[in-house]
Amino acid sequence: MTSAVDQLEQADLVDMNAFDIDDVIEYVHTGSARLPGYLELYDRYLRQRWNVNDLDFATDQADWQQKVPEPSRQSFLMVASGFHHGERQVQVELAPLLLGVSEDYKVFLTSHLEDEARHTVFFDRFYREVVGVPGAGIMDVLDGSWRWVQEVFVGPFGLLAYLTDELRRHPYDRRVQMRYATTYMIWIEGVLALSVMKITLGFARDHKVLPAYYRGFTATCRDEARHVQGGMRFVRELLEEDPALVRDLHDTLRTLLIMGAARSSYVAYEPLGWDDQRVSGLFAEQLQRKLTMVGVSLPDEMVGMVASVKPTLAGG
Amino acid sequence: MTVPSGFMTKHWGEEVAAAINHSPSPAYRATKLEEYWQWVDRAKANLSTAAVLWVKDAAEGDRGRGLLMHLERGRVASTETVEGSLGDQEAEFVLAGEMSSWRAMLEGYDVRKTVMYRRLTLDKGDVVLFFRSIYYWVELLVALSSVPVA
Repeated sequence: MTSAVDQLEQADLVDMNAFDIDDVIEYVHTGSARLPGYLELYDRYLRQRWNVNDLDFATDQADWQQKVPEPSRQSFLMVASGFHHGERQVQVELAPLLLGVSEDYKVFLTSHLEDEARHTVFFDRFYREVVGVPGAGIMDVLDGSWRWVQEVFVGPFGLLAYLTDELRRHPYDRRVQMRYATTYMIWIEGVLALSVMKITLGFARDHKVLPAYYRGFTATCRDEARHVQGGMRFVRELLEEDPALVRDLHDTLRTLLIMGAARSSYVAYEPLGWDDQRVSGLFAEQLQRKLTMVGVSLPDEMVGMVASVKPTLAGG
Repeated sequence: MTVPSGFMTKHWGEEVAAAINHSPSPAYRATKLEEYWQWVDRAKANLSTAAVLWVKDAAEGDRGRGLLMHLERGRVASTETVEGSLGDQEAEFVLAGEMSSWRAMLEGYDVRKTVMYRRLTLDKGDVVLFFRSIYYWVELLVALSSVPVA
């Protein structure tokens, strides 16, 4: 019998409602002892690419108004808005990485960039057509959802923006590349996004609502699997070339964990069927899995910092 | 771009220092969880350094002018106006932007977007170290934005 992970590899957009987010997360980590090569990942992109404009949000619009209670709507927006902005950020902050990496990774990164643009459009459509946020352009709708984004979002995503600026100025600097990849691929995509995807998708699945959101966001998660696998390969290659770069990985993680210990307001997860402790547990689990993928362990003094990370943020 | 005449002046710098050292107000403090301010206080304890807030002169390469702040455990101990080349500034951190970015922030543009959209950039200093105190720097910019400019 073909496993769910095997089926996910071949599935089209119309089939995405059949998959659970846990299937997608397992797909990310399948065979991580041998991470796919960049051109293999590019081939998967060509086969798995989906059209964001094939999604019909009419049922989602009705569900949002009639079936999703107000407390759940508010919690959903506080989580999903992090993705709305996160997807835009990981799209606009990717291009400079192409400058200084291998030719094969450059090819894959063009697909990664196109994916993130598609995810940005996905959330733009969700916020316009389902939530009802108006706007003449994508930035208008982003401005409209900003009120639901946690203030501490500026921590990891500001760090990503500033490291991108360094990368633009020093594209071949391996230390900058490592700091950037730790922030983008390990933390934002590999920890925050993969953890928090479970929350809104689980809610939609359990309450049988928002079918187009479920289909499109599950497809988004499958795209993220390629990004994380490509990113972890890149980090592993950096470490193989120069093991001393583990210091930059650890230093950057230390900053991310320090920032992660802050929150300025609560996110109520209970209306979505979650709680703070379970969400924090997701973060810790995903961080450990990413570090295993790249063959790195945390220094003892940082292990305790992981438990202090607040369950506040969604990623892109 | 019209430059407010009082911007980056000695007098304005002194008022900015006072605003930073007296923030947050009780009303503003109440808008966030107390644990957030405790995080900011812990960051302050490790911040005894010099930082420059710098206005880039778009027509003149790395030349411009700014406000040099000497921080002692996060409090602004003194300020002075500086000008010349950004590379010559004797500070651990230089946070720089075009006049249009500073003006937008002073006129109410969101401080967090100002950072995340790179309307201000860290043109000198270790980015990874800077972000270990990021919420302190964000609140410093919020306080700065509250000071009127003539």
